[in-house]
Amino acid sequence: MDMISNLASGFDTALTIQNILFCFIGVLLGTAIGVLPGLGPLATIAMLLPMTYSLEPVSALIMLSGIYYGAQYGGSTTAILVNLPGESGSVVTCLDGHQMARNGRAGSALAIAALGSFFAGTVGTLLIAAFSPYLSRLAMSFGPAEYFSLMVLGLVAAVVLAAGGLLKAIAMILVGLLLGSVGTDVTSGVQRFTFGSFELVDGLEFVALAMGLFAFSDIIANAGGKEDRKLLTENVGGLWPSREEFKQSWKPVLRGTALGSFLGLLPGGGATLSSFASYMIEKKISKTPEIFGKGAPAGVAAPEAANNAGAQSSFIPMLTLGIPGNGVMAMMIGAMMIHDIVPGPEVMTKNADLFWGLVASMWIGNLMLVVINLPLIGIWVRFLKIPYSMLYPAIIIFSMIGLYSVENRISAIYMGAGFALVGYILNRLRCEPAPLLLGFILGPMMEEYLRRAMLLSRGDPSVFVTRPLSAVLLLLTVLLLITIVSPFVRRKRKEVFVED
Amino acid sequence: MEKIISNGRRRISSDLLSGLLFLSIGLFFAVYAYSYSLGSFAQLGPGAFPFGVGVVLAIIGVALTLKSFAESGEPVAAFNLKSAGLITLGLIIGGATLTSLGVVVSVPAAVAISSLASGSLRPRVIFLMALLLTIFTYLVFIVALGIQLPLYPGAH
Repeated sequence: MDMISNLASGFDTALTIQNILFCFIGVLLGTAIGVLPGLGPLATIAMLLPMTYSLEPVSALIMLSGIYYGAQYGGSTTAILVNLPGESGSVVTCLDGHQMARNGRAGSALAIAALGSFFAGTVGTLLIAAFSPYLSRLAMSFGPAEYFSLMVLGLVAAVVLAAGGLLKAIAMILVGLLLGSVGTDVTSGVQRFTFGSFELVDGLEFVALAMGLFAFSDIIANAGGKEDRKLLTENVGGLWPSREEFKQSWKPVLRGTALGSFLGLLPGGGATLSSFASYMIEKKISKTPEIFGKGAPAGVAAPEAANNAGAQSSFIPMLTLGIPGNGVMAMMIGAMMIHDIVPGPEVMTKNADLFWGLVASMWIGNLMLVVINLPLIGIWVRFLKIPYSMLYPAIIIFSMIGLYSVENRISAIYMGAGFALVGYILNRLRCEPAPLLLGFILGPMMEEYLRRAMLLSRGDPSVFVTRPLSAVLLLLTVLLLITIVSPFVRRKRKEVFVED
Repeated sequence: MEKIISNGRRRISSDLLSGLLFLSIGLFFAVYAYSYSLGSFAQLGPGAFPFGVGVVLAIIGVALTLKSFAESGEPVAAFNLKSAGLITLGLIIGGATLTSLGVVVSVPAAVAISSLASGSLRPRVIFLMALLLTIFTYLVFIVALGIQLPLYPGAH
């Protein structure tokens, strides 16, 4: 079978000493970051992006994705032991995971989370391997009009399914699109919005934007805050779930995996939505809904499996279509572009090594997480005690030198400081920064496809609705927008994101 | 201005403020983009895309502003000017001294200034952190990663 031989060649790439090492560094850093509250995967990837410049592209992506799913994993540790989500995908794990810990079942909750995540990760990896070739073949037949419509759908869907105010999120995408147009216009050579500044000729620095919006503005928001982290217990107890707990968990793991794999495919899906939705479903179909929130193993197993499955399958649209469904995927596309890889269906044919190597490394990384981290839980517990006031100056120094190293330019640091303020102001106005990043990444591509489509149609804008595939994509966008303003969906959406 | 009551304090609606912000950003980009050529339908000029996006953004800005009059929504979160100022200043001073005065000046300066934002660290801890992070920067970035940075003033 094609898939088997492809995966085999992927393992060849992923199992070189160098790539195993970077995968290991990635999951280890990711776990550490996930354990520390207040430092999400987006901030971490932004922070470490400059360090991957000198790596081979496949090693860079292996390490960055390791950070992503490592952070999912670490986040659940904090959720269970401290009742604080290390990152947004593990918010619901707090509900029952922490209660289990209070009942003296901390070790068991951690093990359920780890094993559920590993199972979901394995399924997710297989799904990527099985479905990506079909999707990328389909995308090969896309013309510029289809691509443009696909991006419109992707951007709209990403904000509809994500948390937060809809109008604000759409506005943030548009701001991202505008910021993406800063710099020299490729087609005409005109310098747009540079205001005579030499530093802006090549456009805004992606790393500076990402660090400013995600790492620095978070620090500003958190630095003045009170430190409120009470560790429940240093003794996590036995790591094995009891037979009863196992029996209560395996079905939720299967359901969570299925749901997460599906939701992760959708733009705006991924880890957070998957975990919320699967918790709701488990509670609804459970014969004993009253024990949810009081330490139900199913309430840990399902969302943990779902968030890992969602994290994995959100790679599919990113790798095959070049469309990022969430902020982390936008970051991955940014990393690919830094290495001169054009995101889109051709990644699979032109960079087959990279694609299959990355897929194989995800499974290896997931395995590493279980094997390394359960025995190391004592170390992560110690990590939890690092006060934020000592952590953030280190992040600042790390990011500052990293920003400089991108192009050996001090101006990148100033740009990062500027976006720190912009990000903080937007944060205070309760605007999520992730849609802005999506717009920034997709903006130049969207403009390019728009222009090409208009050129091919000799200036007839109806091309977007007369080409059937493009018409369907735009129709879906409209339908999505109509459903979201309907009162029913609005209510449901609020329920799902009740924690926000 | 529409104000709403929250925790006994009057807070401005975040919809109103963000609406006005988006309106001005949209208008700014649209007006500026108009000065680049919009081109024709068949050959869109460099101004066309940002002009279109700017206009839509301005419209959404108006919609948000109007929405803030209809329903209260979330209020603007409190600004912490001290930490915003200190973190930004730390980065700027750190950047300004990085290549001219070297890592031994830039890193401790950035650490010291940004540490003040939390207000919970004693001088001794800040000093230790500055020392450790300077050594760390030297070992990781300059020695291991080979980034061209002077260590002390005048070193190149």
